[in-house]
Amino acid sequence: MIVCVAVVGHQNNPLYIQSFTEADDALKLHHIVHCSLDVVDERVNNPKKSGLTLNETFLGLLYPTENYKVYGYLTNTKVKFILVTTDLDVRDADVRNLRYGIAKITFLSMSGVAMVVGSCGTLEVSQLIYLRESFWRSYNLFSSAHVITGVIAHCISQILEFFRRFHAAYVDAVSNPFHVPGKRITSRTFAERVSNIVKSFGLSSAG
Amino acid sequence: MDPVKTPLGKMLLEEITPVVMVLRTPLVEESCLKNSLSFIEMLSPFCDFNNIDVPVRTSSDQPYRLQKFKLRLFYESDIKQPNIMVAKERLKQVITEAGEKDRSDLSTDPPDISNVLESSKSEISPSWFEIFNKELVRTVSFSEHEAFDHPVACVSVVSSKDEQPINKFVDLFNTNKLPSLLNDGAMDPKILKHYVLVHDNKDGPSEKATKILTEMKNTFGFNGCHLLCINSSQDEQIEHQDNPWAPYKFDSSPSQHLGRYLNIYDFNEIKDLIQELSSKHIIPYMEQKVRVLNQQVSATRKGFRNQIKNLWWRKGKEDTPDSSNGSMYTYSSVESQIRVLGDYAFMLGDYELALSNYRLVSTDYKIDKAWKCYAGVQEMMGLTYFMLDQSRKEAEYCMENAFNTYLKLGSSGRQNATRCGLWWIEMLKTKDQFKEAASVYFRICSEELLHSAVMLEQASYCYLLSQPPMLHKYGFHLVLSGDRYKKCDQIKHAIRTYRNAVSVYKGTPWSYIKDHVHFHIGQCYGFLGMYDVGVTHMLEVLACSHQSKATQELFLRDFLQIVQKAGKTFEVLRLQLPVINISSLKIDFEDHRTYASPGSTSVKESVWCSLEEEMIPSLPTARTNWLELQSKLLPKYKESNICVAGEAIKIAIEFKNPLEIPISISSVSLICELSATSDETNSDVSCSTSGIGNNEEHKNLREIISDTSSFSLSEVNISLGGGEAYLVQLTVTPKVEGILNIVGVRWNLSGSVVGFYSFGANYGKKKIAKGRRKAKQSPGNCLKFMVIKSLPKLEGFIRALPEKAYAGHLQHLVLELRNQSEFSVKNLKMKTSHPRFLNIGKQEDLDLEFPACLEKKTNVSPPANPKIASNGVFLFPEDLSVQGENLLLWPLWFRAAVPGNISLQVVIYYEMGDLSSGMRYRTLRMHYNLQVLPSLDVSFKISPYPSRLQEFLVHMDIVNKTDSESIQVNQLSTIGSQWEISLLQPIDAIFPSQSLIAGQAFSCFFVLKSCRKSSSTEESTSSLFPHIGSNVSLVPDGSKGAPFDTSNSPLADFHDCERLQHGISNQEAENSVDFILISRPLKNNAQPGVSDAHHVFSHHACHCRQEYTKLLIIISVYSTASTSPVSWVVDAPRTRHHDFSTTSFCEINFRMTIYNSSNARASIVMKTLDSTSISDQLRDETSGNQVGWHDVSLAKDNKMESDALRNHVRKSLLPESVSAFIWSGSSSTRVQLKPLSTTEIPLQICVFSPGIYDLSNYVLNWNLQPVDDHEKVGERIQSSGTSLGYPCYLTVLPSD
Repeated sequence: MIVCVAVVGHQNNPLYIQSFTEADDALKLHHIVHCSLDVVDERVNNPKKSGLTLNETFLGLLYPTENYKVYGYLTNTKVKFILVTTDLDVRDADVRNLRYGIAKITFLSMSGVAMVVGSCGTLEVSQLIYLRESFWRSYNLFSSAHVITGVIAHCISQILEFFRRFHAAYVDAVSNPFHVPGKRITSRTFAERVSNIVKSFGLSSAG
Repeated sequence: MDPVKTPLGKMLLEEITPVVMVLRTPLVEESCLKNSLSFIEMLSPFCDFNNIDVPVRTSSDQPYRLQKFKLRLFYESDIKQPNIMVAKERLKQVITEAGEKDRSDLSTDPPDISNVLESSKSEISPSWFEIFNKELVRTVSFSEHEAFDHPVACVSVVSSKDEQPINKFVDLFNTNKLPSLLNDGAMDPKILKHYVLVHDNKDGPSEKATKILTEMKNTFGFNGCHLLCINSSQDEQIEHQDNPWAPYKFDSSPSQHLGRYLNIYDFNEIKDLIQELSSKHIIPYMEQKVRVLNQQVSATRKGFRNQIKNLWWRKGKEDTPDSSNGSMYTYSSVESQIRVLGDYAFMLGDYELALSNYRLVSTDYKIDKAWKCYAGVQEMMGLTYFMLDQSRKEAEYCMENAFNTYLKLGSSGRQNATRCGLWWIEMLKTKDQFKEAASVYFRICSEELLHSAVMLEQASYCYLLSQPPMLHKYGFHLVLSGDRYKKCDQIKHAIRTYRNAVSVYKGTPWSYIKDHVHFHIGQCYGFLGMYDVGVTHMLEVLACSHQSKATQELFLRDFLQIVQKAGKTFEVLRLQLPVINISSLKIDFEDHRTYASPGSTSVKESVWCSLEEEMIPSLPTARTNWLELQSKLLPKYKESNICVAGEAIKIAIEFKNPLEIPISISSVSLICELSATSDETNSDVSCSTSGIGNNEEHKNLREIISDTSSFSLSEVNISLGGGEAYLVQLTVTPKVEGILNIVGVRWNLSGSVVGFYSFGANYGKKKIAKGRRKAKQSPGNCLKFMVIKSLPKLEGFIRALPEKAYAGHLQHLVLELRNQSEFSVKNLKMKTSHPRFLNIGKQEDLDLEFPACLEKKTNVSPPANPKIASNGVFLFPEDLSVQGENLLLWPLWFRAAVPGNISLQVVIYYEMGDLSSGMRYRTLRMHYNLQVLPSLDVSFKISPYPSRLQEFLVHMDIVNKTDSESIQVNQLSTIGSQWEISLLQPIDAIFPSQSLIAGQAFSCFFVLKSCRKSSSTEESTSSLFPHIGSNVSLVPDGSKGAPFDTSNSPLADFHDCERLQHGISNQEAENSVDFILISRPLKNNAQPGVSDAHHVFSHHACHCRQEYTKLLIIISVYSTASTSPVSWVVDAPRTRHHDFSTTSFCEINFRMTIYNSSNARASIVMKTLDSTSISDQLRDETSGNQVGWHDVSLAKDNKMESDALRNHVRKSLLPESVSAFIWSGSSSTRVQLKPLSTTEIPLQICVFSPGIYDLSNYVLNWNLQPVDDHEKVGERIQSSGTSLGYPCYLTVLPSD
């Protein structure tokens, strides 16, 4: 579930922060978004290290905090989009596929990797990435690695889709001739559109 | 980098060293305490051997050299795992102490972030972290699963004063006080023993001691015994420079004189004792043990055979349950022996040996699922890897593994995990992996707040040190840590962390975070009683409109609490509450322009200027050229505004409350500066203040405030609700001449905080940014005033001017002028913007009784010419002067001319009686808004009276458009002597009720008779009495007295204005008639017939034309010129009986009477036309003629309509009346007509059958020949034209 979306300007100034929870947690979310800027900077400065190269603008999982996962997206004008979600579970079908792949490698349980997989009902994307890495590295379990890749790609593509739509909404909002660049986005239309995007994201993720 | 030199290496060499257990009798302690030291404390400075070179030989044959060695001494009672609660207390104490010491720079401003980044590593993080971390590591010492804390040797100490010292030695070792480690089999109870006899030299010579020593040597063996003599210094106290004990004593104070009885001999003796103990006993013992254990381990575990055996054996034990603690291993078990071997090797610096053994035992533990032991071994492996400086990756992997395993154990492994984490962090820091270190710090945060606060703070410094610095995370962790510190009442720590956080967030737009940080700092300072600093931080959060209402309330409440506690009023330069809307700043001042009411200032200056244009004397620019002018005029006049001493300057400025909660603001007043001299440098000062820093500006403002003698200020108290804005009106009244500078505004928030706001800088910026009309003027100057000497000022108002009136409302008003000063003013002039509405009366009108004065009087005196100049400026009598308490009253006539909202301006100009004053003249501007409601809608339609020349029928329609008023129509008058009006029917017959109720309409017919005389003989009288006309009373005769006189002052004047409004001059009134309808509303409907004496409506219907036209009052008449000056009447019989059987045709004779109403001679040609089609053609032509500048009036439309109708009638008629008629007699007749004369033309037609005939197919061509060449009328009136005949129906009936 999406908890918060934010737009941060190229000088790391907040342009738009909207939380989608009932609780009064504005301060917390501000802190989370503000913190994640460090990671964005890091990713931008050494792009080689960042693992995912699916899309140049998509920065991937920035960092997992206690309860939230933070994803980032960077436009060409250095405007950052930050997405804060609660656990983004891999869908059941994907997990089944994963289990099937893992069944093939249970005899290699010595590795300890499978133990991790077995104990988790649902997996985080970050865990999956770690798992895939270890599969690639340690053993020649390409088939399993491929299964995991597919699962990861599905999750990532959801988030990527979200960011694309969000980006489009943002572009429309700042194209408004009455919008002052670098100032907070106060457009009501933009807010409505974003909340629609967020809602639809929740639906597709649950289904 | 040599791992030994790193902080972690040093730490390990200090912390992982052989432990010596010390057993002592109370008497030993007693003699030591004379030096304020315990026995261990006395020895500990000498336990550290730094620059030694001791050969050591462990498992290998090749000895190596040991550079550094340390012994740790502990009493037997301390050799146990510390109580968790005690440990916590200890840690808390460390933190609190550190906080106390930290007091130094709390009140300074937080450092700039760039400075923080430049400062070195050691400056960034506080030094007490090391102490804290060391304490934290010590909380988990003496664990069973680790051997390096197990005592290697045991030293028994007995004092020479003890009874039976030998027995004491035995007793010491036999008591059950020995640590549980030894007793429950976790370690080998057979440890190296050493016996020391302490002799206090103060108690006497040492003979007795030596005797006991020999006894000891006999009993315990020669090597293990030692005599230690202390307190050799007899009397004097020794002051030790660089007191060696100081670092070992935590709560030391200088007064204690540590080691005051220990002289240099004692020093040496202690040193010898320890050296001998370590070099001759402990190290060889450990070497020996390592060798023995290594042999044993090799025998049982090394080699292929042993490994297989071990595997089988382990397999058999596989079913054993998880054992989290290491109790299953006793000292005799091989695993424990391997561990001991590893630890001893580590302590002796043989890391290779240690590592191989750790590895060996690690797999064993793992298979046994002895997780705690496993974790401990992994931890040691990591450290060993580090010390070997071989594989970083392996080292880190081991540490992580150990850390995770400890965490998996749950609460029991928590503290071990912390220690392991700290070592891991040190390891990462050594390799500059600060980011990873920070994340480990984050992971070792426990639920315990204080602990995690410290860890988070350390984590934050790691983020700062990482490359590149991660400032956002630095800030975040500081805030987290500060929050925890605050919850644990570690206020000083909280302030430190928050202050560092401020430097991160300063200048960023992350307002939520900033508010949080500032608010908490403010609170912390409040707790500490440093209210000043606290308030400055709290000020930052005041304007928090983005926060929720509850938060706003909290912020404001806490702020006010702190301010109250501080017990003084704070003066704050840029208080953000309330927000001042500088663009709303509006200054009203009076120089030569004075205003009667506040509303007057809202009228545009240009409106006033255009009104005043005619009145004020122009500057004498003609005499000088512009260069001279520049220099001659007072320079100050140009630069600054002028105001008069004693007259208030009004400033309106908007205060806005950004919060959702109400705030109260009191004592809002201006900050002004009045300098008596006109020194120009002064302005420079005020300009430059904006450039100077806050403090100086503040000081400046304060100085200015203190000096308020030369002017007086108004104070306003307001209270603003949530989100409310309020326009505050402030005044300053200068008392003396000079230059007045309005600097800013000050206010008092909730009675405790004084806020200042300086206009100068901000206002200037705003204006420049806008680049509007003020651009010419330098920005600061609109707040700068030149105060000149007190002047007379006229105040005035119009008494009883209604705000709301019905259209046509006529009222007698009085203008009241007053001059408060004793100087007189003269040469008064006056002008109104709407002369239609407001007319200036004559002085003698003042006491008139209204409306009786309007009634016609018997003795008509010729009206005196009012003194109105050409452009509507009224000049008061020249001898008039207003002074002192005298009132000048002047009558005014008010008439609401047209409905709508009217903004009425009146300007009164006056000159100073005293010519020496700075200004020659001033103007008083009065402004009134009034609403005029529609009352009667009157329309007139005038048509020629059929068959009568010079007479017209007037059809008057009246509609009462008021909402509820009943109106009685009194009188209809025509203006001008040439008209006479009379009722067609008696009024009683047509209008019995005599009043119109709301919405009622009423029609009435009048006969209008022109009685113009032909010549210019009467012209003089008519111009003298232009307004004399005739009246028709519309009320029955008896009910009211004399009719109203329309030719007298107010009505006539207003009538003139109306005519002016319609753009018609007096002269061209020949063919037009003006009506004045006088009516009065009835007071309530309850008393019908009783008219309200004070309300008289007069309706002026101007300029109604003779022909076809219907006119409303509001319609302006343009089409005068298109009138034909020629009128005619066809005097034909209506019906004719003729016997067509006898004569087939019938001749009908009739006459046409033509009248020339113009002042010129007219030549008229009358043509008869036989064919109707031709006449139609002509008709089209004539209508086509009227192209060009032509007003399509309502009348025209009417005509067109009637044309169309007529065509239609004719077309429908024609087929029926088959037989046409023919004009007999002359087809064209030419006549010459003198002005204002009539002539008759005989006409004849022949009719051939009975029917109805329209006698309209004739044309009159007329041509005017002016009598006089210089008669101007001719220019305006068409000089020739064609008129078509109008329908005249003749019915011919067959006579029987």
